[in-house]
This record gives sequence, C-alpha cells and structure tokens, in this order.
Amino acid sequence: MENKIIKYRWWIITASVVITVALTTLLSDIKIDPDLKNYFPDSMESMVNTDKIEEVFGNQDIIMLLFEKDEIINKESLTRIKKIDRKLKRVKGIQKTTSLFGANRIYGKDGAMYVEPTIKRMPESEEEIEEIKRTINDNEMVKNVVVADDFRSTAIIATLDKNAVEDSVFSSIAQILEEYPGSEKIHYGGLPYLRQAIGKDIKRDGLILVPIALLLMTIFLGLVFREWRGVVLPFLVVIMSSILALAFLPMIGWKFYIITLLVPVMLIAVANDYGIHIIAKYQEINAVNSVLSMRDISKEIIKKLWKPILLTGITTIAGLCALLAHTMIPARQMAVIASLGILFALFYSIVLLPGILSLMKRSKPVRNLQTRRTDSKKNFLNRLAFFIISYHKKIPYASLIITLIIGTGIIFLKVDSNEENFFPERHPVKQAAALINSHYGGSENLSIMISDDMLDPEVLKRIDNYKDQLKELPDIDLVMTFPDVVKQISKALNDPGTEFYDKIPPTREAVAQYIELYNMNGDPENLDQLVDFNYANSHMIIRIKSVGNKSVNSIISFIKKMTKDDTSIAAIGGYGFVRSQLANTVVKGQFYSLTIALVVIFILLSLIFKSVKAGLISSIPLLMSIVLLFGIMGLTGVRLDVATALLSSIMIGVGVDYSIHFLWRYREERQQHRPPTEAVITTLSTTGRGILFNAMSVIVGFVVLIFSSFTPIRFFGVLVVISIISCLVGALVILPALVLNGRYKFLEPKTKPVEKEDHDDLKVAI
Amino acid sequence: MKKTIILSIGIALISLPSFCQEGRDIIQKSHDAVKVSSFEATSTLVITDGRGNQRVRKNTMASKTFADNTEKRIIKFISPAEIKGTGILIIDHEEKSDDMWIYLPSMRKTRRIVSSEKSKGFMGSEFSNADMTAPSIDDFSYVVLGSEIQNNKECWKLESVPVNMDKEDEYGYSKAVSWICKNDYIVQRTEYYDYDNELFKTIETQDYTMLDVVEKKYMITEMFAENHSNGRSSSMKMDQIQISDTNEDYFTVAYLER
Repeated sequence: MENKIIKYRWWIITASVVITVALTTLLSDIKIDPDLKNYFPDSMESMVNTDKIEEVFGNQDIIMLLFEKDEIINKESLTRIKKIDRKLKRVKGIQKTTSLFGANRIYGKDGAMYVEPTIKRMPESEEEIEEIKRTINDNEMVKNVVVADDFRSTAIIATLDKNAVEDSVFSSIAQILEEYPGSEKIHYGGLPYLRQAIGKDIKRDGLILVPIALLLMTIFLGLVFREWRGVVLPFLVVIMSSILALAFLPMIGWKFYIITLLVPVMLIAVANDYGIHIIAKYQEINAVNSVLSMRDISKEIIKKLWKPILLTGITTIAGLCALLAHTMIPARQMAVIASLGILFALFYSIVLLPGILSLMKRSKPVRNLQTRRTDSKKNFLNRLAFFIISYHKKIPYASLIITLIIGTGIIFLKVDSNEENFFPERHPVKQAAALINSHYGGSENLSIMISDDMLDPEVLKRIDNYKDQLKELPDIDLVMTFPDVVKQISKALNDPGTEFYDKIPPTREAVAQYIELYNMNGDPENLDQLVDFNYANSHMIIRIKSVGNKSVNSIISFIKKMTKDDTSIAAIGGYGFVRSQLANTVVKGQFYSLTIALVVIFILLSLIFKSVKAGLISSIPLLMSIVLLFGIMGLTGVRLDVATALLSSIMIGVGVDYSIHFLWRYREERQQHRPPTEAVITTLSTTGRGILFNAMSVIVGFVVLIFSSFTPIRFFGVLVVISIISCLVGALVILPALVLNGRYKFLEPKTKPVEKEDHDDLKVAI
Repeated sequence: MKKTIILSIGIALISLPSFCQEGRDIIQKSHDAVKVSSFEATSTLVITDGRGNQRVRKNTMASKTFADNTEKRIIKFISPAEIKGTGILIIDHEEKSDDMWIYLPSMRKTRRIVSSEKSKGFMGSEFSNADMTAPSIDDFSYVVLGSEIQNNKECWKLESVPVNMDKEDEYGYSKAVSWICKNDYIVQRTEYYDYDNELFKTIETQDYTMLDVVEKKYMITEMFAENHSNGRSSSMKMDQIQISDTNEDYFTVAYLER
C-alpha cells in the first residue's frame, strides 16, 4: 500500500487540490434554517396536528412589538405608537395589526352597541388616563393581550401574510421605528423574530468561531511541533475535509442549522488528530534515524500508522453514526456530514500527507525527542505512571466513588427545547420573553381544534367549560375561544344584570344572529382565527408561560384527559406542544444514540482486540465519563437541549480513541515480554504523549465554542472539555490501574516469556 | 430650454385642478346615475371562501331618499332559517355619520349600532359597507387616467385617492381605480389597492338595468367582488327590483321588529 501511495503521489495531490477548489464554490450556496420546527420529522404527533390546524386556520405567525415605559398610558407615547401602528399596517408582508388603536372594543351603553378602538382620542388629563385604564381593565380582548395590566408596556401584534418575506418585514419595521423616535424601550417577540435572531447569530458564529478555532489550532500545532510543516499539514487536512463535508450540504439540499455549527468546529478539533499522529511519527523517525530518505520515512509512517489511525477514525465515525438513531433531523445530518468529514480527513492523513511529506526535504530534528527517554523522572507522564503503579489498587475504587457521587446529579437533569433559551440572559430575545411571559399570557402556544356545529349553544358551552378548567391551571394565563366572541356580543347586546348578559344565548338561531351581528360590525378577521367559514371547526388558543417541558407535558396530558370522551376534538397541536415533544424526543434520541454508540464501540473494540473483555474494560472510561457528564449537567443546572444532547455520542466516538491507543501500545509492550509495570511506564511516556496532545488538540478546537452566541453551544464547548478530560483520565489513569490489577488474556504475550530482571530497575526508578 | 420646462410645469399646474374637476364631475355623475329616490328589491348574496365553501343569504330591501337628501334603507333576511327575520335599518345622513339599528328576532331585541368603520365587510361579504353606499365625494381626490374599453363599453379610467390617512384607515384602501362608462356613467369595474399599493380587491358590475326611463336612473343588478389576498369572493344579485314609493313608516325601528 505504502509503495502505491508514494508512486501515485502527484495524482493524489492534484486530484485533491482540484476537488477541493471545485467544491469551495458550493459553500456559498449553503442555506441557513433557523426554524426549530424543521428539526423534527413531519410525522410527529404534535407536528401532524399543528399542520392539520394550520390547514384550517392558517399559519398564525405573529411579530410582537412591545413598548415599555414606567407609565405607558400617556399622550406622547400613545401618539408615537399610533403612528407606528398605522405605518406597520402599510408594510408589505404584514396582513394586519392588533393594538390599542384597533376596533377591538365592542360594548353596550344606553341601549346602543358600540364598536370602536380602545383608545379613540389621546388622553389630555389625568382623569382621561384613568378612564382609559378602566376601559382596558374591563376589556378581556385587550388586557394582557395588547397592554400589560401594570400599564408599563403595550404591544402591537402584527400578523404576517402567508408568503411574507420576514427579512424585509423586519427591515421595514426598523425603518419605521427610526422614523418615529421616542423614549419607550422597544422589545420584539414572536417566532419570526426568534428565527430572525437565530439566523443572524448563526452567521455571526460561523464567521467568528471558525477563524478563532483555526487560529488557536495553528498556535497549538506550532507550540507542539515547533516546525512549520507540523502546522501546515494537519491544517491542510482540516481545511480540505471541512470544505468537502460542508459542500455536501448544498449538494444534497440540506440546510445549515444551529447545531451544524458544531461540524466545522468538530472537524477542526478532531480531524487534525490523524495529521498530528503523522507529524509526530515523522518527528520521531526524523529524530532517531539520520539515514532514511524522505521517501522511505513516508513509507515507514504509512506502514506503522495506517492501521491505528483507521481504527480510531472508524470508532469516531461509529460514535457519530449512532446519532442517526436520533429523531432530530439536524442530529442525523450532522452525523452524516461530520462522518464524511472524518472519512476525508482519514484519507488525506493516510494518503495525501505522506505523499506531500515525501516531496519535502528533511527538517532539523526536534531536540527533546532525541533525549526523551533518559531523564524520565522529570517527565509528567512518567511521574503519572509511577503514581498509578503505587496506587493501582485504590484508583478504581476512588474513581468509582467519585463517579457515583457526581452521578447523583443525574436526578436533577432538566430537558429544554425552548429556543428562547438559546440566548444568554442579557440578550434582547430573553428580555422580551420575560416581559411576554409575565404580562402577555406567555410566549408558548397550544391549540385545540374542535369539529362540531359551532352555532349549537351546547357545543359552545362545552368549549367554554374547557376554558374555565384550563384557566384554573397555574401556568395558563390566556385562553382564547370562539365562545368568547359570542359572549362579548352578548355583553354589547344585553344590559348588565339581565338574563343573557355575558352568556351564550339559548338557541342556535340566536348564536347565528349574534355572529351575523359581529360579521356586520366587528372584525371578521378576528373571527377567522377562532372559527372557520362554515362554523364547523373552532380553534382554541392557549398561551402558556415558558415554564419548562415538564409543565407543558402535564398541561397536554390534562387536556387529553379533560377531552377524553369528546369525539369532536379534532386535533391538539400548537407550537408549545411541538416544543414539548421535541424535548421528549431529545431525551429519547439521547438514550437511543448513546446506547447504540456504546454497543457499537463495544463490538468494534472486541473485534479490534479479538476479545470481549477488551470491549468491556475499554468501555469503562466511557461509561464513567457519561455518568460524570450528566451528573455535572444536573448539578450545575445545564439542561439537556438540542445541542448538549449530541455531546455524549460525540464524546464516545472521540474519547474511545485514547483507550484504543493505550491498549494498543500496552499490548505491544507486553508482546515483547515487558512486565506490566514497565509496559505501563513505557506506554504512558510514549503513546501517552500522543494521547495527551490528541486530547489537548480536541480541547483547543472545541473551546472556541464558549464564544458562541448560543447558550447551548457554549455549554457544549464547556462540557466537551470536561468530557474529554474525563476520557483522558479514564485512558491514562483508570485503564492502566485496571490492567495492573488483573491479567487479561488479550493483552498477554502469546509466546513464552524470556526471563529478564526488570524488577530491580523498576524499584530503582520508583 | 429652461423656459419650456417652466412653461410645461405651469401648464401642468393649471391643468391639474381641471383634471381633478373633471374626475370629480365624472364621479358625481356616476353617483347621480344610480340615485333612485325609492325602490324595493329582493336579492341573493353568495359569499364563497377560498376553498369553495358558500354562504347564501337572501334578503328583501327597501330604500328611500328624502327631501333633505337623507337615505333610509331597511334590509330583512329571508334565509337561511337561523337568521330569518334579522333586520337592519340604516339612515344615511348627508352630513353626519350614519345611524344603524339591528333587530335580532331570536332575542326580540333591537340595538342601535355605533361604528365608525366603513371598511368592514357588508354582512361578512367582500363588499364593504362603503361599497354599498356612495361614499362622500369630498373624501377623495380624483385623477382621470385616460379612456379604456371595459365590458365592451368606452370608459373613463379614474383614480380615487383618500384625501388623508384618516380617510385611508376609514375606507381601508390607499387607492381605487374605476372604469366608468362614458355613455351612462355606470361604474363597470373598480380595483382597490391596499396600503402597500397592491391590488387586493376587484369589484365588477356584471349587469344593470334602467329603472327610471324618464330620469335615466340605473340600478346595478349583479355584481361580483373578488378578494385577491384571501381568495374569497362574493356575488350580489337582485332577484326582483321595482321603483315603489315605499311608506315612510317602513323605515322605523317599530317596523324592523315586526
């Protein structure tokens, strides 16, 4: 194999360059998808139902513009907001707006029914301000819908056209706000805004994180290898494999999601490992052998390394591919894209790098490599080896106890799927969400579609009763139903205190006539949201505070229980439901992918070392790392979300490499009949160095994620560092202790040992 | 060169008011052409949504214009059954805002309705309340855009723009373009443009007859409105129509409740 690679090196180099350059042009076609809804297959119950409801009632995408001031009911603020509202109605893409200035006040007075805006005239005096506040407090269609009951903020709610171009709507809004400046603080809310914010930050992250990661990697490689080929060659592998992998996105029409950000960073962190091993081997040979030509050195590198590199690459890919079991679409896509990237990196590291190396001249040998073995006691890894040998009986128990203690944190682990929590506390999205949650009924939506004769008073009473039950729940502030409109008309049509005031009328005819009345005078568009054209379906909109997945789950099961015997319930959906199912899927996906990753890695390791025991003991560091990871997440309150849920599979794929490297070398040492203690010392001081560099490079690569705009990605960065360190400790401390404690057949020499007096040396060394 | 520019601006400025005047005259004549002092009719209103679902409403109607130019109208639903008997009385004052009463037979209740909204749909149809009555001429400024053939008739093409933003909000559109027959001054077709200046509604006159041969007064007997933004459409067809000097007592709340 090595001969062929060197023979065709020019072909390989030329082809690689041509393909990479050609695919670079594709990168600009990558499309960003900030919509969390697209993370999951359409077949999910909540999605199917939400689609079903949207089929009848249309997509209810709204943008909320919140104006905040200590006292919002004042002439100046209201004048500004009215002007802005008016301009917003004229923005292309905005279908309508709801505000204090819309005709949302229907009431009865002196035998007449009035239809008018909540604020007809700007208040001039304190009395008029108080009058407006009273009016708002009396109107359920307004209070805590377009104005907060503490009168510190008011909202303009813009409903978007079906095919609105969100970008242009937002720039129009920004322009209008600039046109009418004022002292009110402005917040944005609603899913389109969230998508906008996410999309913007994905771009920013891509532009910032990747260069920083590359820069850190350059510095790291420079420090480690101290020669330019040690920087450039692994770097080349990373760049080329990243481009190839990402170019795959537009080629098969996939989109860039938040978690796709992890792919280039992951490739920077992981894909250069193979290149690092190549360079390390080159330096090793270059330092001790002065006769070989570059051609021969390259051949030697390929011969020695292709197997372990391929093996560690395959285990990493196997860990990643376990994510294919995940329901989350971007997770599966990431598995494919990142695996492809790693596959390319493997190819380039084993084939292209030695090819390029063989064309270079020999460099000056790195000095400390020539003298490394003699001053072993100063070396950190050597000291570590002696420490392990001294405490090898206690280490496994100590690790087990620590793992179990931290592992108790798992019971506190929380799941989260709310995109608002993608953003840090101080981000405007979070501030607006806090306001919406406290004063506008919450930002999560649940929808129930009921199919029945909506003119039948009994049906309306049933829906009204559902509303009453739901409003009893602590996390529900706002429920909008079709019977509300009917009752609103009853209040305008009947005098307070009379029989039919604030009641659903007794007959079908009366309901029909009420609605006819509303159609003539109210806003039929308001009705479209709640009942369909034939009065055969109605829509119940429930707003919930974003209180976490658990309570949304319990609301959903409450609704299901409440409506159990009601055959007219056509669908329970809404974005809140989608989110809660997402969270459930994240947990399930986590469980499946983790189990599959562990099983696959176990099988692979058993095959590699031809022993089931090998699979078992090399899985131990991984298991401990997983328990530690979830324990730490639980204890520190980091939630399991779309990004952090991917962590464990990636960690298994990457972290297992250290165990493989250790066992591989240890076995090699034992095959040469070195006693276990000496084999541990040699392994740690040689391969241990490679493992340490490898892990450090992974940490350096992932650490940039803490600069991300998204909280889950930041946490991912922190957690990956913790997990890599725990895998490293597993491979360099716990595994050596384990192999010292017992004799495993797969590691033992196959030939009879040649007696050697090593023990004395060892005693001297200790 | 400079002189010609100034001259042409001058001409444009002078001719502009006359243009407006011309448009105003046309619209005035078009309003007059359908002003019948008193009539009775039965009509069918069909509202169709984007998916082809239909609501059919039949009603009888009487209208009378009084000496002070006040127009009174009374409408009663005949079908469907659940709204049969529901009635509306509208008094359209020349100078002040309209009065409206609604009677709901199921509750035996009449309520006066006070609403400033003219852009709202008439009975939930695509015809707005403003489409059903002639809007105040002063609420718009007019420009004659030219002449075109519409419905095989030689027409003026006329643009009406609300005079200010308040009027825009009141009527619910930023611009209307109408084709008015040069011969009989009947509006053949009107296109309505929304606030971002996009066509959102078209109303077409499909049929009309001359009711009063002496005074040359017409009545539109069939019209069709199409909403381009939500796919809904509405058609209004007069099934019977006659000039009749309706008794004044018909236009009272008491009659509404009968």
